[in-house]
Amino acid sequence: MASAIGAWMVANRDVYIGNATAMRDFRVQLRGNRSVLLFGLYLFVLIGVALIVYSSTSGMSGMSGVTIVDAQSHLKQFYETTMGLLGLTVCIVAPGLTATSIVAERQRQSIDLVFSAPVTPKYYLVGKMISSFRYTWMLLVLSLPVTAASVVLGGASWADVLVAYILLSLQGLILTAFALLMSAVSPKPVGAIIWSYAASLLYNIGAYAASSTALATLRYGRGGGAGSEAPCFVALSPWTVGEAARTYMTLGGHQVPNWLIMAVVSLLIVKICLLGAGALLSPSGGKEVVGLRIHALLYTATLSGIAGWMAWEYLCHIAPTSFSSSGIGSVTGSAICGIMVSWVAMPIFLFMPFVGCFGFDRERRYMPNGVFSIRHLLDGTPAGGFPFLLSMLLCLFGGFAFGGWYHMRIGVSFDFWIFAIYSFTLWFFFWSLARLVSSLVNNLKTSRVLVFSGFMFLVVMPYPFLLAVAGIDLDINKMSLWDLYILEPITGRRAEPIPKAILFSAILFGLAVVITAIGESRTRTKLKSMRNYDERPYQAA
Amino acid sequence: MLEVKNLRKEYAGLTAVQGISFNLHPGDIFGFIGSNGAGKTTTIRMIATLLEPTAGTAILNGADIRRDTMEVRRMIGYMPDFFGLYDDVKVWEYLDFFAAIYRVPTKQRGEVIDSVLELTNLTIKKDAFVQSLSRGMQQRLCLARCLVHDPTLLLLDEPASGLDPRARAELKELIAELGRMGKIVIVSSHILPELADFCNTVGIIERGELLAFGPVSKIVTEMQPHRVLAVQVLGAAADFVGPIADMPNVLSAVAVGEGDLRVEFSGDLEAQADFLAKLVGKGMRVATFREDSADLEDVFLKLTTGALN
Repeated sequence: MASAIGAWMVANRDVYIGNATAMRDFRVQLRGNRSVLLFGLYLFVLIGVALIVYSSTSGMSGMSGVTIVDAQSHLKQFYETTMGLLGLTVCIVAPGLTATSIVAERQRQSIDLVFSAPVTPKYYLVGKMISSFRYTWMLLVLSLPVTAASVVLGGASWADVLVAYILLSLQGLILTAFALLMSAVSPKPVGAIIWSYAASLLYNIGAYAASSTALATLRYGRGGGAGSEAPCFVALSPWTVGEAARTYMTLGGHQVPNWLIMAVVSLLIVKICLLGAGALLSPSGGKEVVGLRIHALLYTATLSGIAGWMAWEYLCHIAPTSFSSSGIGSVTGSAICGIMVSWVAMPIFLFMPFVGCFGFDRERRYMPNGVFSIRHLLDGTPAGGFPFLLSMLLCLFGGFAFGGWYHMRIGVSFDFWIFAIYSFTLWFFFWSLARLVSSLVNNLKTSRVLVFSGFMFLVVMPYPFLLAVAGIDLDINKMSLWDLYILEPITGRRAEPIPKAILFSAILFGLAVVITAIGESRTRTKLKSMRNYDERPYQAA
Repeated sequence: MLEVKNLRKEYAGLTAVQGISFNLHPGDIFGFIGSNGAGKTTTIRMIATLLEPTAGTAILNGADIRRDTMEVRRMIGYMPDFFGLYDDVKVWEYLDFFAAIYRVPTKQRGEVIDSVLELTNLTIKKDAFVQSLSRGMQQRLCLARCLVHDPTLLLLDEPASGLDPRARAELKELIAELGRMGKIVIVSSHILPELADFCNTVGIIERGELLAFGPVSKIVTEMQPHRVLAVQVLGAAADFVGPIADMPNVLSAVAVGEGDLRVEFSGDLEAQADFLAKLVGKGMRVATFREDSADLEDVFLKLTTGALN
């Protein structure tokens, strides 16, 4: 036991301290005058912008009749603007520095040399992460003199600055992890850069929307501000770190600083991104794929549990009648939750092509090894695809129901589970399509593209079309084109979605069974016809 | 010892390597011969654990390439047919990086780097940037990289491609030296003379199938079991074909030019000397008399059809 722990510690020391990949990148990054010039330019721009902001805010305090409170407010505004600037720097620099790190090595083919050595994907990715993040972090450290001015002038305290820097560092870490994942996915550097910035933009939009909403509640609702209680996602956005730095959340009767919660969340996001990238880089799949799947299930269950906790509380306080048989109108609170979780499950379409498809790719084989096997739940092989999908949905709906029940001691009604069944049949249907497509074409990539296109064709594209053609009609008795839409039971268009959900579940289930049967029959024929097919254990997908 | 057992690789609609097997021992320098696209690189990449075999395996000193991937990687040095060098890195930094990822202890790294640089004759370039090196030097640097962790097996994929004759000769000497150091060296190439010089074992591969395997001399003997003598006589060669064909140990005699004869002979060296004496004794005016021994190129051309995967 002790020796195993010792070996684990040594292995992790090698990964995180003195990582050779990070060391080599660091040497290159800091070589010559280039980095000194860049740092100088960065400081010059930062100080220049800060001076402009300061003069525009402090100019007002020089006017007669301005109170101390106004002056302090202006200084605080200056501090928040400076932090916003640093947030912008992190958003621009972190993805830009990281996006090409793996894809460039792949193009240069040096990645083959690295992986012909006893190097694990974890070692390599952590090294890349450290080298990129270190540069971003150096830029943050260099900006300290500017932010220190805010402390000296009275716009913020040292504690505010420290926490804000921690938050910025964590956000930089998240954006670096996103870019690293994109770099592992993309075949070309330009694509990697575009996708990294797209991921960063999406994250920023989502995080800013969430945190600004929470901050608005603080400002105009309970009248808080710094040192106030706020949902933890207030600390997600790089643009609001100045305001979010001293907020906290009450968990189990304890006031937990949001930056601490953010630190845990950030590390978990980074972990899953690295596992994703590792699964893509690993020549033998295996360990990284298992890790990725376990983390995906755990995160889904936990987040769903938290969502259940919060939503159930909301429904209990705002609409307690929804738990009665009558509910809100004729839709019960459980049904609302069921619809909500069904929508939350939609991102499954992103990895459905990876879970459901099989076939040949350039170097690895993803051959079918059965339809359903619990034993292959985590190893990424095609037989484990359906059990994994099932587990994801179970974690999602089960986690939500458990979270709500644990918090309020009131369980969800059967209406909720009807939507769980609908959601299951919907994804079963798409999984069966993926199997059928894979049985028809040899190339794995083609199968994946076709499945993704199928989802777009059946789910995404009809929505604007139906909106344009049929409009939104809430009349339950009126037939319309919407009745043919696959997501009809959860569009919220109908006042009574339950019967629709049951009908659609039955239809989708029947279709999925038939399609699966056809697909499997074709797969068996295909396997028999393959020359020299061997029955060895299958390669991880 | 390296045991390759029924190693096979299939892609969609293509069998790149069709279940090849061979064994190599310490000190063996194995020349892997085949046309472009014959399956050499695929085989080498499978042994280097960079490609998952469809079937079969290879075992290096008890470590299986499929099960004990990390253990195998510690024992191999892989030099692909591309450089894969980093820009903005000095020669010693490049080697230091690879020494670090092969877990060479920090204290020993300097000494190891110096010794591999000396072995590859790059000591004076220690502080040069890798992009400033000539192609031959970059090739030697790649070889030095493969040696930093003192591997048991060296996989060299087309190591001499693009090198000038001098660099090629230096590389050949270096590989021969590695063989003398007791390492197993697998060298793939489609340039046959360079392999025949220093390989003690060769394998000929075509369309993923190992057509021949063994020591060069053995393969040549198998392909051409009898001596072929080239005799140049003064006068019309066709006139001598009949008398020569009747002589002992002569399997066939063919006139191949005005005064040139090609004689297939089954006897040993003593019989060969007697044969020459008899020719002269019969009044033939022999201008030249030599054994026309087959080489690897002949064997390769005879065995392969030039078909590609």
